[in-house]
Amino acid sequence: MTTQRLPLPRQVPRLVVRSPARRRGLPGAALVYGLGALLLLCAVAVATAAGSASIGLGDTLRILIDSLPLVELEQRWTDAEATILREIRLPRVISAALVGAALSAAGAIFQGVFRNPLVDPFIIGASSGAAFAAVIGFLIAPQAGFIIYGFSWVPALAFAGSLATVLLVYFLARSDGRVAVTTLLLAGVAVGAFLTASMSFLMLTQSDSQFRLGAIFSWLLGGVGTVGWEQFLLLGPFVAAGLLVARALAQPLNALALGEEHAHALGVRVEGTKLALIAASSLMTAAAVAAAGLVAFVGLVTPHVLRLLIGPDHGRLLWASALYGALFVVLADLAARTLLSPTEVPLGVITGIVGGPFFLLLLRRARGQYVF
Amino acid sequence: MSSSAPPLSGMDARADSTAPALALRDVHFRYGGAPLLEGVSLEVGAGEMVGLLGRNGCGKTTALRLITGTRRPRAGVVRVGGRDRAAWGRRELARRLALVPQELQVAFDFTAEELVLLGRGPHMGWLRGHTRADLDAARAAMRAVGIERFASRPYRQLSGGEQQRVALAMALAQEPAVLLLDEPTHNLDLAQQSLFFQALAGLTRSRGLGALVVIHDVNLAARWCDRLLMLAGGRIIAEGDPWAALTPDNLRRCYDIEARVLPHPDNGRPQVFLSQG
Repeated sequence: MTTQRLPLPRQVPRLVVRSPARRRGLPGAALVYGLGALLLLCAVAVATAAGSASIGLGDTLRILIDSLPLVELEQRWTDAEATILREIRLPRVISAALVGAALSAAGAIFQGVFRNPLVDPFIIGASSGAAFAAVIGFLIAPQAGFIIYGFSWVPALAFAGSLATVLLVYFLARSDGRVAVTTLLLAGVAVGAFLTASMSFLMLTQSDSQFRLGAIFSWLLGGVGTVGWEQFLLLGPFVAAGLLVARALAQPLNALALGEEHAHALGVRVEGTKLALIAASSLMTAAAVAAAGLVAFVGLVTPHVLRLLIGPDHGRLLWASALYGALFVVLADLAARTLLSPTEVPLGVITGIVGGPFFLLLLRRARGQYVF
Repeated sequence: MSSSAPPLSGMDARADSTAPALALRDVHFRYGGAPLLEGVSLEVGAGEMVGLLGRNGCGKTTALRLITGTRRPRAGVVRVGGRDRAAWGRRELARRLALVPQELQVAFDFTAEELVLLGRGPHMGWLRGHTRADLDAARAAMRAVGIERFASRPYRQLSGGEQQRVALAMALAQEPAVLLLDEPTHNLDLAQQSLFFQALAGLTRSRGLGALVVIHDVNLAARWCDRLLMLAGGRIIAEGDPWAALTPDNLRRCYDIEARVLPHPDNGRPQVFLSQG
């Protein structure tokens, strides 16, 4: 028999397989995390220092450090300054960070589940449901006084509307105990179109509400308008829980990149994994929408940028997306507050204007190396 | 099985070591109203490469789906290691059966090594991530199919033949008892087809792996498979070693073709030639 043998290794050279993150000269995950954490800390400090009542960066740092438990510094600042910092600026900056982390991580998860690059956290109705509910809130009772978890009427409605819409879309797309992702996408787009049209109709019928329309538009464009720490109590746990659930499912999510049939052959509980991931990211998205309205572009672009930097593994991608998403929104919110001060630019305007060109620049530099 | 081969995870207390690695018994299946499989029985033993032949749409791929469990038979039973497949846990099953698809569609830019590591999933515990042992197993699998050179290259930049060997390495990393292959060389050129089957045949022999290969190319099947099954009209109409299965009569019943069967000049295996007209 004269078959040629496959060059099976007789003497195998020691494999030059580096840790998967270090391929193609990509920076190691530790560098990406470390740099991200450092940049985020700097951004938080600068963003907290900036504002209409000028408190120097040095004093800001001293007040922040003094606020830490077990640390007591000699007080060289006024109580008013400390209050502005601790009760107004810092909560807002932290909220911005959590909104960015939530939207970016949710974007990474949704893109993974749908195996689709055009997906953002709002794809299956989270934004249109929130917007529809919020508009109802503005029109019915703009000044409604009651507060839920530090949220007034409109954000609370937005949160509920967002989750309710995602649930509706999920069950519309479900048949025989399965949810096909294409059906889910299409159902999300259809329900979104319906709700957006209904919202526009509602707004047009309100002829006397110039003032409210302005408020609605500024909410739709997004902005962190939080004061005090109550919102943190809602946003914080949702983001933490969402990130932990998603992290636990990062490996099955990687397997889903091979398609559902192959993931099944690898022992993945496909439907359960999809449901848990969609639930985790929808809760994060709804919490972010309640806190900051519809901040565009963050959840779409941040995961793409990070895949360019550290590769597609969802375990790393999730943390990195949360970290850099937080950084992105903290800086964007800083710009929103300071660019045209005292007028505030909507946050979504900043993220779009800055994020779009930045992403295009990266895409051009990747020169076709980046395949989704 | 050579002594250097890793132990098969398919062998534990609950798997009957005397039973065939994979067995279908009188399996029936229909899509909607039209019956597709009407009493299919087959076995795949350890170290055996079995080819499953049949026309398009005759139910070959469906038979694989009944084994992996994405479809359920209407009647009959699928046994893995002597035990009903439904009685195994999802991940236990993924340590006994591994799938090599016609073409692995990979979203995102995963490298070959990252994909092969995904094959360790059923061993890993999703929470824990991969250990040193998983990394070693993945590398051994890559070495076994000769893809260690491009371990760190993105899967989608590889050629079709390289991609299929990545899929094979990924299946090996699951350390299964049986490989299920769905037209694994369908998109490959002649040389790559040969390379792929050489690697596969080496593995079934050296590791005692069973393989069930859905395949269209009868001559490739005759060259590499130990046993062939011909599926037509929802049943296995012929079964046996290549010479026993590939008779002109069976080819007529299976494919509705007139053909002659002659021995290969080099290896004496049967070769099928379509008759004129």
